[in-house]
Amino acid sequence: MAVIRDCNLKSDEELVELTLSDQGWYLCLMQRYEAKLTRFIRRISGVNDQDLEDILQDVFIKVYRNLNNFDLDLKFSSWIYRICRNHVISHYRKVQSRPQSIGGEDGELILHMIKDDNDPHELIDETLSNEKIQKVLSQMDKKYQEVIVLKYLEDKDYQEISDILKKPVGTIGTLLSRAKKQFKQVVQKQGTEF
Amino acid sequence: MTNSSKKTLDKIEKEKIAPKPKWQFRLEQVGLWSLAVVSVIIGSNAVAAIIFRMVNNDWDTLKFLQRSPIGHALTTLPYVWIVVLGLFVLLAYYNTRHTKKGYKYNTYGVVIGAVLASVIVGTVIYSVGFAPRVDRFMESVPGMEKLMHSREEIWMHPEKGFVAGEIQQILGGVGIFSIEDLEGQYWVVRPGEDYRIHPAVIIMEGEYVRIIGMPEDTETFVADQIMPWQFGFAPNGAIHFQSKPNFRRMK
Repeated sequence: MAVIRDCNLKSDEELVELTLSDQGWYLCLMQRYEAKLTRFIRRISGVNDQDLEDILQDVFIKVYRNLNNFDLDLKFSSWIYRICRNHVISHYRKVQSRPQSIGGEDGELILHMIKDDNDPHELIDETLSNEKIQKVLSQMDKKYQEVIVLKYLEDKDYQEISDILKKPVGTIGTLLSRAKKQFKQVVQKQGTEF
Repeated sequence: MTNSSKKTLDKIEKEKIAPKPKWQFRLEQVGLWSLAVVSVIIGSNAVAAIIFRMVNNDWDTLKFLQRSPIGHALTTLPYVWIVVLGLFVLLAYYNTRHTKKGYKYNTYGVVIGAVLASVIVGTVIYSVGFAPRVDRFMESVPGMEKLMHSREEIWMHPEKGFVAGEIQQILGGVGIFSIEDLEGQYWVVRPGEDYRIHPAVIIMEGEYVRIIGMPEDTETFVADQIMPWQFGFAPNGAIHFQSKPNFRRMK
């Protein structure tokens, strides 16, 4: 007889506890994070659908194996994003290729957010096309690319980004500020005016 | 149920994948913290040896040696110990950084904390008299002796007025005694006209002293200054645990 599990009222942390005693509950966690992690993997890697599915499955299995290592002081989402990000990096180390650029509507969103963050004097040309943004992001350092994705696309706060990247909160502020600076420099190099 | 989640759950069930036990993660954390602590302890021993070498560095004889304090310091700095301290501070940092919450600590905070802890514990190790043993241990490591500054070298030139050694016998008369110097030669030491003896020196058999003066003949040395071989933490500057000069090396 199939067991009916009501996932909706459970917090992530409760689901972790339940999963440790009954693996069926793990489905709730997977369902909760499948779309988010799919989007995140695509954003930081630009892999094709087949690779993406494999990566996602590996991430979920890795998370399951390491459930006993989950620290309740962290948000579960930070922890699962960290594992996901690390897995994507090791995947690319294995196949020895660099993650691709961020594309499509994401580029437009980043542009909008960076513009909102800036001083009034530092305006970014809104006509910067998505194509150009993709090009700009692809030329940025990986460490800056991922901090921009986490801040502006995944909507994570400094503490969460710190927990995902395993860097002190102060470093995240510095990274983000440098990421924005590099974004502008790359744009200027390409001859696009702010 | 989505396709990916279902596939993953099937795989978990089919391959009987289970979460790793908690003790494995705890053991890993205990290991990392233990390595960090051990690194600080080794760093502390390096600090103790650095203090020991710097205190017993013949600063009181620079004017007789005709050396500038900076030149003398640069020549005699315990570089091997400084490198050891640096390496183990970095190791302590590396291990702390890889603990579960290590990434939250400020880099400079961890490094400065490791250095401070090493200095505090190192000072304690020095003050209980363990530093000479630590220093001697390093000298016994093959190849290390060549890299470490030999203080004894200065005190092997009786012809220039520098001699050091172990007091063998107290002879008749004030301040007359015999010593065996670092090369195994025996001298009768008698006070000269400008005879000065450091308050930390105890003239008794088995004590190690440095003497500045001039040989009178092949067996008698006229002393102008007598100083202890080593200084320590006692109020009069005497040491708690005296370490012998490196006779083994000199002979």
